[in-house]
Amino acid sequence: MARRRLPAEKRRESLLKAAERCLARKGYYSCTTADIASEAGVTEPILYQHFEDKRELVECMRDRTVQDISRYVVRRFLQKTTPLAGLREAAEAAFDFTRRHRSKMRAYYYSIPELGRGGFHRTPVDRLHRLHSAVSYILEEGQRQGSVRKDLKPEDFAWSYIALMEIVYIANALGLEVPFNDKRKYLELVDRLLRNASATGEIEG
Amino acid sequence: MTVPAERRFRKNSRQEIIQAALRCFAARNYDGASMSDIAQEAGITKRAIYRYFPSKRDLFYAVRDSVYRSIVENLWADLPKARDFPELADRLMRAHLRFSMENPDMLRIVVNTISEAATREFQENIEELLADRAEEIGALVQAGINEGTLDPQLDPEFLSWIIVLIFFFLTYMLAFEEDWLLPRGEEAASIILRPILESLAPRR
Repeated sequence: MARRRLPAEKRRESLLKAAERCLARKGYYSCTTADIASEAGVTEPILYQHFEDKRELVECMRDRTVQDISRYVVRRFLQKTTPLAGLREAAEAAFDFTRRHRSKMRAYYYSIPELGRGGFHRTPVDRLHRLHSAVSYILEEGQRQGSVRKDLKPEDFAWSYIALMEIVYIANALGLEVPFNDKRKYLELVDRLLRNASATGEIEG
Repeated sequence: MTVPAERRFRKNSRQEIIQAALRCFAARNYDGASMSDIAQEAGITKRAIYRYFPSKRDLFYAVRDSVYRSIVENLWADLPKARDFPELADRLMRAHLRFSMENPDMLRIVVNTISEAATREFQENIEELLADRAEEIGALVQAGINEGTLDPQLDPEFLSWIIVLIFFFLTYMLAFEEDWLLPRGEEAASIILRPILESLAPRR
């Protein structure tokens, strides 16, 4: 069967998607470039025309996932008019995104096996830092507007919020069904946390 | 009862192989550590390793189980000293963070095992492993509800899983060598947990 020649961009895209599926199924170690190439319906040499090695391919896959989820979460955040309502919406958005793209998000977490070696672990750490800066800033803004308790330390509280957000990704990576079976219970925890940050105990907007 | 000399020797060398493999996997990851490396680290032959572990994967699983067992044993050792649930949860998280900081090799194995979660055998094992923990924590949550520090409207089972997951979150932050967390040490666990615990108290 003659293989259709795809433009370089499309070929890259199909390889990245194949890497997602492959990694989500087999984990980082067991998934080889040969597996990824075959999943994408091409030979290994073609994969190597686009990516230097498995590591580079996985890094690109990871960057793309971070971009996708960030865009989605930020878009949902911006639909709300107050900082705390925005944060509540963002947590729900992260949950929804994970539930809708379980293998994509699983592949992302499985791609973090080599911590502290070279620059390979930068993406996940950078993502966490950007998220932390954003959440801290949003809380500070809430304090300026008077909707967030003044005695709260945004930098610290942001990590509590991020912990609740991040455990959804971790549960997904571990293959646990717990938070996904009961969205209402999960959101109740987020809601309680954010009410605790509110100056009035309520979340307006 | 005395253990026959041969049995005792066998048990020791199995444990020594696991310890050597732990160091190798932590330093070079699963792919990078060969059975020859592990044999050299343990000071025995490759053949001797294969007598205890049919494959590298089996050896990795043995290492992982030993790491999780150590973590849990360490945690539960701190258990009886707390007055109420918030204090107990705080102590558990701090103990976990302290232990992980003192045992960087183990920390790396925990992170490694998440990336191995895709394989079916691991999946079954981790659910089992964590279900026991969640059940134990569930009992503590129920006690918290009974003593009035946790809202009775909360679902103890659901909450116990959330707490197990927060343990993993802290492990990740530590493995990332996160700038905010490192200088704060175990205090970071308290800072993260405090607002969450406050928000779980009964509503006035």
